[in-house]
Amino acid sequence: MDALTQALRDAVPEPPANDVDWPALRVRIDAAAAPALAARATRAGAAGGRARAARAMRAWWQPLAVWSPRGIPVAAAATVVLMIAAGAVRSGGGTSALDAGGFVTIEEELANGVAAGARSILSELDADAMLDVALFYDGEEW
Amino acid sequence: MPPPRQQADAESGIDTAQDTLLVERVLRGDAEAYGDLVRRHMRRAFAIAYRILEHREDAEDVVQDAFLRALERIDSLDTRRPFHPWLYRIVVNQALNYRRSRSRRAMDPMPATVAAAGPTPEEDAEAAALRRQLRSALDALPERQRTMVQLADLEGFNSTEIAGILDIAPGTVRWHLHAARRTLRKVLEAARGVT
Repeated sequence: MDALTQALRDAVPEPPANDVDWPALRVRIDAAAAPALAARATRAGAAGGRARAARAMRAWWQPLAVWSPRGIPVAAAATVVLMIAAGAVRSGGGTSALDAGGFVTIEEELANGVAAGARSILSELDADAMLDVALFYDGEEW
Repeated sequence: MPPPRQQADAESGIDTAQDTLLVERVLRGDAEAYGDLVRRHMRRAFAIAYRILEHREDAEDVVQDAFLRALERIDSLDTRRPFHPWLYRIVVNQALNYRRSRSRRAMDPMPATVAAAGPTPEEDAEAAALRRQLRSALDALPERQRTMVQLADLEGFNSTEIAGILDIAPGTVRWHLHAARRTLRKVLEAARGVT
């Protein structure tokens, strides 16, 4: 220790640590801090609740988020398939490929013509004749 | 970029890692952890406050206010940095504010060991005169320099620690300390030359 430091320490009184009632001072500080600490604990509890809620939210939407990049193309593809299927059903119910703007083969046109002829014949039959046709048709060509 | 957290401050001997754990618990409102922090640092905080105020009750009040202020601001503490320089900075600022705002009260009576330093009445008088002159010179220093001398020469902090407490560069601390000591040394040499 140099002379100046020693002289300063001689000139200035030491902190009277032995005169301080340390337990009482600590009680005073703790008591004064208690409301702020209680408020902090409440906030921390509420923040913990919000964090748990956020984790719970993640629990259900996270798989969706993971699957959505793959799910969207799959859904789009399924939609296209459904649209094609629906179009096929409609065309099978009376809309010809020609109506849809497509090409028709000779065989298809003949089959359609035969079927139309059969429908016109069948429309002229009464109920008993229709039953005979249904029961006794043995696959012969018209 | 703050320096990496140290497990224990080599110079102060304070376990900064333990402080950090306590601070993290205090952030969640843990009263027991806060009490532990108070217990670990209240004596040094009192000594710092007393150096600036030289009044025991005022220093106790400042320590109490400083710990409460620290609790209010603890969210702003960078937990990668040690806790105690941050706390001592609050103590110093509180004590300086207290000192500025109060009307100067009577000092505590000088401790008996200091008052009775000197074997003869003549030497006693000379020593008392030297102490008075040095005290006057210390009080006449700019506030920042006086605080640095109190922290360095009386409390034993080095310039790096003082820089951490006052939140200034170590080079600035060394410069101010050099200037303050040069002034005080002149007073000391003059007083010894006269006496």
